[in-house]
Amino acid sequence: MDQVLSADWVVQEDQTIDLSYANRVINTYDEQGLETMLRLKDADPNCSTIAMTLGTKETESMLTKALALQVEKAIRIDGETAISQPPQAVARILCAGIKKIGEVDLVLCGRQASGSENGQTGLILAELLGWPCISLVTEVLKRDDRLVILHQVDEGIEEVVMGGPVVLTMTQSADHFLRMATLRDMMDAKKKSIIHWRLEDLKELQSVKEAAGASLSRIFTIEERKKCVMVEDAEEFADRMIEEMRRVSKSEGVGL
Amino acid sequence: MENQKVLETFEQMVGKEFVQTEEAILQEYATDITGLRMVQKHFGWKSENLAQCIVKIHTKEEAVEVLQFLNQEKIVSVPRTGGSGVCLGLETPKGSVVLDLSEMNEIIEINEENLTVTTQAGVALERLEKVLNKKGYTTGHFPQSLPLAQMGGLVATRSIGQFSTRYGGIEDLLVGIEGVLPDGELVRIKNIPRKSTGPDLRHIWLGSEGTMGVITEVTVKIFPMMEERCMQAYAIDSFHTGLAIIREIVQAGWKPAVTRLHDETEAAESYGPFMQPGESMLLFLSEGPKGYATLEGNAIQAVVEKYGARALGSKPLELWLKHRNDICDHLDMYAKQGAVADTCEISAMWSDIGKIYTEVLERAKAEVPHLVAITGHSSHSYEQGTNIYFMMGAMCAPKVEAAQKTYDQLFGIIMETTLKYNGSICHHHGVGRYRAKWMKQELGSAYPMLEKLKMAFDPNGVMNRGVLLPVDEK
Ligand SMILES: Cc1cc2nc3c(=O)[nH]c(=O)nc-3n(C[C@H](O)[C@H](O)[C@H](O)COP(=O)(O)OP(=O)(O)OC[C@H]3O[C@@H](n4cnc5c(N)ncnc54)[C@H](O)[C@@H]3O)c2cc1C
Repeated sequence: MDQVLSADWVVQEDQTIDLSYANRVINTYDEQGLETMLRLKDADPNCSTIAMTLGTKETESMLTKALALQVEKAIRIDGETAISQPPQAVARILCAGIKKIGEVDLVLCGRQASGSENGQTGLILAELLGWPCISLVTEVLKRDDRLVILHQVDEGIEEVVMGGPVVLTMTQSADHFLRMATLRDMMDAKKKSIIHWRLEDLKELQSVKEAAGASLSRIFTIEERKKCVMVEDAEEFADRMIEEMRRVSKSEGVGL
Repeated sequence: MENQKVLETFEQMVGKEFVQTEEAILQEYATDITGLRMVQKHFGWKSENLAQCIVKIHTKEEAVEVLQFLNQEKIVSVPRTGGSGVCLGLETPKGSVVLDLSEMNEIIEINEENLTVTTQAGVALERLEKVLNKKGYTTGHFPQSLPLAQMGGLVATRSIGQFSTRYGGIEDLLVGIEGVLPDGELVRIKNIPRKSTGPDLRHIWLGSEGTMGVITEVTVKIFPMMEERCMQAYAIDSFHTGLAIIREIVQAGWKPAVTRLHDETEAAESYGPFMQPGESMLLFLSEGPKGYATLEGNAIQAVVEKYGARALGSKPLELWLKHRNDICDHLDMYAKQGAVADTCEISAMWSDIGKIYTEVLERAKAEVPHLVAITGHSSHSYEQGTNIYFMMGAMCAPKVEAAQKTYDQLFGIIMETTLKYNGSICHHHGVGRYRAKWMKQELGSAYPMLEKLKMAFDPNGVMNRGVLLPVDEK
């Protein structure tokens, strides 16, 4: 989501947030995944590339962008990606979609969505697929038939060399930005078709709700407990501190 | 004089710690934030023309002494403040000296009787605005580079802010000014509301871009914070209808502080969910004393309704207000994506502006091989015409030369088309070194006036050589 005013992050009665005016854009982490996939393809033209999303018709503009960037296939699985959709359900659907595609060696997802920020979908997806998962990945290279994966750990960056299949959750890296599609590629992409699967098309999927094992009961804002005063310049800060200490000492009967 | 002696002289004048010679810093100061250099840096560009040092100036007395010395030794200097210039105006000629005034940053006087503020050249506009706001005033000057630009640079580039229809450009705000001429003479133009004592000498400084001397102090107008605001956005079927609407509003005598028209690509990109395919977006923000904004808002509504515009409420304006300067936090965003991207603002009379817009878009789409986008908006309007702020980007091979070629092609299309329809090649960013090559065509028979001015003020050609006038010409 682009350009949401902070005053508008208000949970409504139906557990949703009205973001209808906000432009939809591919989130930063997903962009990292997309760019990483395109770089792997640049290095090895034989690998095939697919972009898949779970979402309503509006999300197709993001798949069109992927096609303009020369991703070969784009698939949209019908569904709500509202904040109220738990990551267990999203992962379950994506898992069924990946199984329907068939031979997949590498799944790249963003580390978290920009709306709900659960940060769980990739990990649950790996679990469901029975594959390993490496999180917070910043770069992936192909060396011979192995993947060289750089990812963030507490101590810094760790390099893992392994074969697929594997799920990676991507995070930002300083010099990794999604390339731009030219106007011509964008126009061509609009003519390309996006594969559309309904939930009923996914054999593996029985009941999303059941499979999710959890459902959302309430979103709420934690009540503010502390009162903060923002003071911008140092001089004012000193004055305010003294004033405040005087006030406290007076009310507590301490001399200052 | 040999380099070491020059450095020692500066060290005596301003103090050793204020003369910098480290290569990494000289490289940092070797250019400004022109889109071309951003992407070229991403492709490995490094300047081969480094300054010999950076001199940090803190007082007008230091400025006098330093300029006298530079003139005597015929050393070229490049004055700078915020470093947010976008036309290669800060690019250092080899062996030149950068005069950094950004630490000359005292707010000298806020005069509530005359409604003026006097500041040193290095006062950051954003800081000034915050200080004034606390006292209930505003500068009324909001360039998108508000978080970056400083007072000296703003005057030196003839800058303009997003609320310009009401408050004007910096030329309407500047009351008095002090500066040091290239030979070291300190001159002050006193604060007066208006006068008739020959040519307005403030205009030698306005837009001088460091070529006529160094600005040390400025006095600008301030305004009480306005009591009332009215914000309205409209979708309109075409960019040209939008231009006609703005013309009618402005020519009728209304001055909506913010008057913007974004073309269909920009509208879809920034306000997608509000727009139908093909629609452009009109944004109006009126402000003034109680009663004014509502009155103006109603008049605007009457005009736009006549043209069949679709009312979108105030939300798009709220979004614009909140996000209008976001780009300052990630200036090299497009460069990092490998795109040659920049903006270019031109202006023309109402009779020609629409033709320029259409032809630039047609030509860019037909001629630039890997065009990503070319869009335009009008953001500063006058009774006689308006500006178009083009935003453009194209991909190229990741090489310094390829970026130059693509950039020249994109810019060339805008410059040629603008000149073809008698427009001006630069509405507010300044000429810098990049646009100097078109200045002869821009000024036509008036070009010798600029040459003579430069000759009179800077006969040795030591102030920001290559800016405004191309280097081989003068
Ligand atoms: C993201 C972005 C948005 C921008 N938006 C706007 C906008 O809305 N409106 C607008 O008008 N401009 C805009 N600009 C351009 C730029 O911010 C302005 O030109 C600004 O006035 C430059 O001020 P500065 O202090 O950064 O000057 P610098 O970049 O330091 O210098 C600019 C020029 O002025 C000369 N100069 C600087 N200080 C002095 C001095 N003390 N004496 C003599 N000459 C001096 C320099 O030699 C140079 O030629 C934008 C730039 C960016 C990067």
